[in-house]
Amino acid sequence: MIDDACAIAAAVRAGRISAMDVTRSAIARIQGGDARINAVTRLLTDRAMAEAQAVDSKVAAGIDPGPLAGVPYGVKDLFDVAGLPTTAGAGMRTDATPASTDAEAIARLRDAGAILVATLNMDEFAYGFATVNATWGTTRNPHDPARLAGGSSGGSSAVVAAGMLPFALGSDTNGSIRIPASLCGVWGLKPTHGALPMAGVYPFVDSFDDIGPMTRSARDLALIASVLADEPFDHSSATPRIARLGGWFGHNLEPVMVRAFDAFCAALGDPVDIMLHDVDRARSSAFLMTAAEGGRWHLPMLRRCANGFDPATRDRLIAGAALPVAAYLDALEFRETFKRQLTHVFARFDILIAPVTVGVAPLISDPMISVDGQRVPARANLGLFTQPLNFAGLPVIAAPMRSPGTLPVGVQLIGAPGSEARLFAFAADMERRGLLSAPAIDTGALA
Amino acid sequence: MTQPMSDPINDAGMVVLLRRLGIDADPADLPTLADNLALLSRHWAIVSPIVGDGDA
Repeated sequence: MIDDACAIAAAVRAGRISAMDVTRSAIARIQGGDARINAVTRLLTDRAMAEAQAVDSKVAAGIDPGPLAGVPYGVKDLFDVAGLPTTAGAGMRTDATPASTDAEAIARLRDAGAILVATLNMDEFAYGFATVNATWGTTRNPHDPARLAGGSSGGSSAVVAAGMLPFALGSDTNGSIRIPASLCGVWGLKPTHGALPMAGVYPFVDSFDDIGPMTRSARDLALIASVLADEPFDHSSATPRIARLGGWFGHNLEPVMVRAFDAFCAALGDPVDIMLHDVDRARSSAFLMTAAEGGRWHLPMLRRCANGFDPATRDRLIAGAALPVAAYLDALEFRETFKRQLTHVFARFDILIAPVTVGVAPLISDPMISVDGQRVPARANLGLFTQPLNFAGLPVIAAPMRSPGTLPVGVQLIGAPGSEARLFAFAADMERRGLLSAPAIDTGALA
Repeated sequence: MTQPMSDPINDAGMVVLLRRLGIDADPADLPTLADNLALLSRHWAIVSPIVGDGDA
């Protein structure tokens, strides 16, 4: 297994290893392993080697290349990469006008010494939780290639879980970082809405879109988030007041999730159980606003070439475009009520915890989950526990729980807006105590 | 009483809807559109329960 980003950067800055060697190794891992998981859409070898050479030149000249010196990474295929079309996972955009500059997030990572190596698979236009793509195919879960990686940032979670790259960027509108992170057993951050730079990121739903890193360690998550935010997250040392979310977040759980989540809560001393009101309304409101804003954004293209869309995406977007404005306004109005409730909750507690998904990754051959006794498509419904939190704009870390002998499952560490530093400190503490950590990949699963 | 969507949505209604949206497509080629419209209708009913609607 490769080192995490912090360890790689420390070795490169100290001159113990060259950025070019690190980059060559990453490219070799992708070339050797991606056929099994189908996570990479474009390998950017020339660009990566040029960036790595620039980092090595700085080291040779005694100039600090930055906190991510020589760390290879990939981006979900909706970040602008200079000179390439930004596909947003859409086959019809493969010949779009190439981006003239990098997305702001990529520029900040480059300035910190990171090396962009690949673009990564996703659901078309980020509208799905599966990474089942009509053009680039289905990304497979590195822990069991017969199962979904989750989505829409499934390529990002899969390359990190498989150990091909130490980190990747994804985007999260309704759970698209946290869900694949959970199903693949890696860390993921959905920041406070608007906290990380969105310039040069192909939009989906302005009200909820955020970007964030996916990593194999809590310390990497904090470091990369601070680079992306262009400011350090000062660590909070105070012991956080923790509550467990029950009610909506305790229903529909598979036994493996119940066991892992109960064990995590027990290790925390069984924090108080609280119930939020109207979580179903929050989730449905997020569903409506997503459909309406996504449908409105894509309507001009639907008018020009509806048949160019992935059918599974197209019909959802058309339905959203047809939604009466009254539905959107009803959802918008409820958002303030829901946010007020959370303000009161965060006056009593610092961190709320809840499962990310109902259970483990669904099979690709049977991409369904059970909700309230009904089998429903995973593509549209895996966000049961994540969507209400996007609706409120909260920062959330998805963290891999201990679940020995089973597929990965994740927990959400939820904070008040702007409380990322506290979440990072708590996550790091949990990782030190061995309660949360990315499971090692069973290389046999990739054979 | 105002309903969120027509129900059931038949082909004729779908043709009108698509024409109104300016989308040149045959409803027969949009196999999950009716399901998605119905799904949004259910979510709207959760956000804003309709007085007197047993489903709400």
